[in-house]
Amino acid sequence: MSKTILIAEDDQMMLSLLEFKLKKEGFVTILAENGKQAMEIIKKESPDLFLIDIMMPFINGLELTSFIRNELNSKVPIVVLSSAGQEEMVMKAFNLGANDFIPKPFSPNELIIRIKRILKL
Amino acid sequence: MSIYWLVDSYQAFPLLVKVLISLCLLFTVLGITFFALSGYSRILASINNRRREKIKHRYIELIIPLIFEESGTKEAYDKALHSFRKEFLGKRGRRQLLLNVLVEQHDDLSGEAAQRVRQVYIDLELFKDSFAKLKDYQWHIKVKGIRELAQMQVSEASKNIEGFIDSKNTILAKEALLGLVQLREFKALAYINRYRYELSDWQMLSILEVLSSFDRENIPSFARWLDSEKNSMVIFCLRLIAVFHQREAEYQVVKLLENKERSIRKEAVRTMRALQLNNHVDLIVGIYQTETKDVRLEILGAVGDLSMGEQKQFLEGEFLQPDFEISFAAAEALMKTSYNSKNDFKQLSASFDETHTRIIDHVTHEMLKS
Repeated sequence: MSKTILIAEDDQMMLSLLEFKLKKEGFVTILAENGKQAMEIIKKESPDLFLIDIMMPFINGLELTSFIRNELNSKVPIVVLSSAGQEEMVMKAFNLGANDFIPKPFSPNELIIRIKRILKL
Repeated sequence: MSIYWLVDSYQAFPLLVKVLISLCLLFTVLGITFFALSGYSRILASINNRRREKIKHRYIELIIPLIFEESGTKEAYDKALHSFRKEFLGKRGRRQLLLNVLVEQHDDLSGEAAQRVRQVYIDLELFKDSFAKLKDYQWHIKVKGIRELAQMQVSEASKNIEGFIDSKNTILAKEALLGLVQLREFKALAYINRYRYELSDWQMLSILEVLSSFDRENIPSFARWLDSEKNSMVIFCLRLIAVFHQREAEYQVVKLLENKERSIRKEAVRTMRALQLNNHVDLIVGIYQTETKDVRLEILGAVGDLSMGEQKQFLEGEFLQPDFEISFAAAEALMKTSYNSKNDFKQLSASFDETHTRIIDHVTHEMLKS
């Protein structure tokens, strides 16, 4: 059965790019354009992995990670996407329970390998 | 009530009242016109934004398969490009929108995907638009052109960008220098040497970040620029020597401790610390007394990292100084090299003043011990 990945990313272009690549690799994707939207979706859906951009409007990636781990008590793997200069936020994300991080710029192929490794595919 | 009645009434008013009424009418008309125009322009801007977003969305839909269809044939790729060119690239605004999309994507991606984004940019001949920007009379358009060409690694552009590093416009000159570093990698250091302005710390960081991303096999020896007449170039090269760990520059770095410029001496100590040149600890301790406070602080930090305990007496003397920063730096160095606990400090004096007590409490705190 295909694994489902929730992508929370405010950059439309990056969101489309991740969606395309993940679908091409056989994953089912659920898209959220910001943290708030992601929270709403998480309450109804249960993805197999979260792919979260750290910097998002309204509710950022750290708050979303905290929500998943502390409020939902979910153990679903979380991978965070970060840009250069966000090392401190990445550390915070790990402290909150993120499993891995992908720094931008990134290779989509590397992203797929990492996701497959986390999902043990 | 007719218009004639209004005109008659108006004419009957004294001159001052007439002027006031006229002014009121004038400002009312102007106000209404202003609100109508601003409302209209806001609606127009919002329509344009929506239109731009729609086109951008369409571009993204079309471009992404072009980037990721690794298995697609060349014919299919060429056909897609052709229809793309025909359908969307006629208008200048749309070309710029696509250019922005590609530059942003290239910035976020690496490896093969980034190469493919670049190929689309080249194949759609969007580099011509970037080159055209370099000839624009407005400096910020030139900067945009430099950024696009540098981001997309159009190495042929370095000759066109070169001239801007001498620009009187400092922002344009800075962008040109950074662009050249992106395009010419370590070879661009020659441009930094002839750059007419001193490099700011921010510029050094930006250039260092770009240089750090390049292949480390072709790194030149940075020591050759240490005799540059430009202080910021010397400081920048010292930082490069530290980052790329060029220990072979040891002699030239140590020689800079004699430089007349304080900031260079300070950076030289910092570089010696980064390169772990522990055979020169006596030398930096020797110049300590003749140095300024900021160089002294740097020396204390270096002694803490490089010494094996042989500078204990020197550090104890500095710890007892009344200057808070000096005393603090010496206490930290003592903890790194000679001391283990609060008791070690007690050998120096039966009682300490409040400042020294606080420093001891801080540096001996369990959580701060390395």
